[in-house]
Amino acid sequence: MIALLNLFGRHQVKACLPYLVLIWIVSFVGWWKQASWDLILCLALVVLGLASCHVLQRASSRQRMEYVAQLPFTSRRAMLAPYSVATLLLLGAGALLHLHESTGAAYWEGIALHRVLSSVMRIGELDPSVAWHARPPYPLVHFLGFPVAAFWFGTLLVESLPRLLAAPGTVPGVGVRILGYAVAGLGLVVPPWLFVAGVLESDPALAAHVTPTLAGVGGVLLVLSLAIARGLRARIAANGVDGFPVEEDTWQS
Amino acid sequence: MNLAIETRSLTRHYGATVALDGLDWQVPVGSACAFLGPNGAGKSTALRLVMGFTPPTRGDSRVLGEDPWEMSAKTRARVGYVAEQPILPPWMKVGALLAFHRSLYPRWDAALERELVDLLELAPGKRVSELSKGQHRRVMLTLALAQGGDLLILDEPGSGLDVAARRQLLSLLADFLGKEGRTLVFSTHIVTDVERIANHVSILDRGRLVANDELDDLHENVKSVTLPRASFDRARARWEDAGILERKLDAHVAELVVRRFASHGQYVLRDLSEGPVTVEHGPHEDVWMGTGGEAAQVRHMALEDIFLALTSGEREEAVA
Repeated sequence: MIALLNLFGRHQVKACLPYLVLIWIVSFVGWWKQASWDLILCLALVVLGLASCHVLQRASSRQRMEYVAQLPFTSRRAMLAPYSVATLLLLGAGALLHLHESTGAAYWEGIALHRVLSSVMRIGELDPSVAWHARPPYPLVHFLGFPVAAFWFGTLLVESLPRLLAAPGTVPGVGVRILGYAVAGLGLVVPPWLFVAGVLESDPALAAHVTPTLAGVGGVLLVLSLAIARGLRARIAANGVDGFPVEEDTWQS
Repeated sequence: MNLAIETRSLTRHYGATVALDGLDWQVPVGSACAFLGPNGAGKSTALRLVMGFTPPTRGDSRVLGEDPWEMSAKTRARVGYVAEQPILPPWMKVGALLAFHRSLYPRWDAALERELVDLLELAPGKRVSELSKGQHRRVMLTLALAQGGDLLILDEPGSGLDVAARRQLLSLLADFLGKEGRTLVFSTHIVTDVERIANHVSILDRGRLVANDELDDLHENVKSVTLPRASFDRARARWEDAGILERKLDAHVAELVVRRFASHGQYVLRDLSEGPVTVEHGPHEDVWMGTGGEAAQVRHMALEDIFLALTSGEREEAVA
């Protein structure tokens, strides 16, 4: 499993370095100021989430799976590995959501990155009369950081859903790609909504209305992600490598 | 007989398409088996089933004694594979790939790896996505050979390689076969490669196995026979029994290609004569002469002609 994650994850996580550096700086400052292990756990979840979505992104083609399946692992287990990891991480995210809900925090705050940001907000202990979303560096970090969370769900959905819906052994068609993008788009739209919700916290009545809606959207995304992972598992069990769509490789002549 | 690969009624459907239809196939340990067939015959499907990439619709198979779909990691490490299509992760550098594989295979041959990197002029610093198809194939071959397996399965290894590279490939495969107990299975369209290295030939046509013989036996069994039409008519049933692949009949002469000349055709020819039959062996053909004056020319066939006679294209031509 570690070897496979190394194979599929390491090189892709490099592409996320700018995001990771940003998160690291934010979390380090947060840890220094608050010594919050909760924060570190949240950060780890985000990083693993990024790695897992890249595993899914890069592993979900017949060519890549054929490569994995010929390595000295039990082939079916190797094929399932990326989806098992993604499922575990999503379950972890679900557990975190539940934890935050049970401790009284807003349900949508359970999204890992938001938890990080919320922790950072406590830096400096500014005048409590100033709304937390208006305190620096929240607006900047919020706009830069939330895309990472969106990227996690978005990539998972945009890469996996078309593969689940496409016929085995085929390239996903335009229709399923559009559907995948539409669902992923929902993931990309949610963060600005969350920000709006943050702004609206100054209006408790409106925030009370928006927050459950956002929580519902987050829940749907989570359930959908899990359903995709399960669906792909079933497809692998039935068709093996042929359950994956063919990736259109372009090779130099 | 120890078998490296054994399949029983192996069948694979893709929707309504039957890619492989009841394949009963045995590859003995220690053989160099060429897997031939026209495009779409099901060669790649068979190899993918044997590699455990996909489960069969029906039937089962054993590779080094295990079901490939459930194969243990230990046994899988003994099976090297080179795919027809580029399958290596494009984002990895060649050097990183070699290091990755080195860490996975307990019998990895580091000396051979270094030798192959030099010989095949691999660039460890290059990313896989920057390689040409031929270079990609060389990397896959290096990975498969250096892992030190007992069974090497190659899907169209010569495609995309120039003549010099193909000769290099054959030489490497010959080296691989130099150690006892190693088995090579390769699908190909290049018949000259088969005659250079293979000692066992399996021919697939429309998802069915039409030949699975030692190369020498195949040459011995499939023959082109020319004989008087009257002689043919007299023993037509026996010739049919010998498996006629092609026939061209006119008023005086029958030209045939038969599938089982050695086991049945010989009997047919002897049956044509009331007395003993004499055979004059020539470099390209034998002349069979019966005491009644019946004569038949039996020509040795090139593997390419045997392949064409056994597969559907030639059959259709014969019908036409």
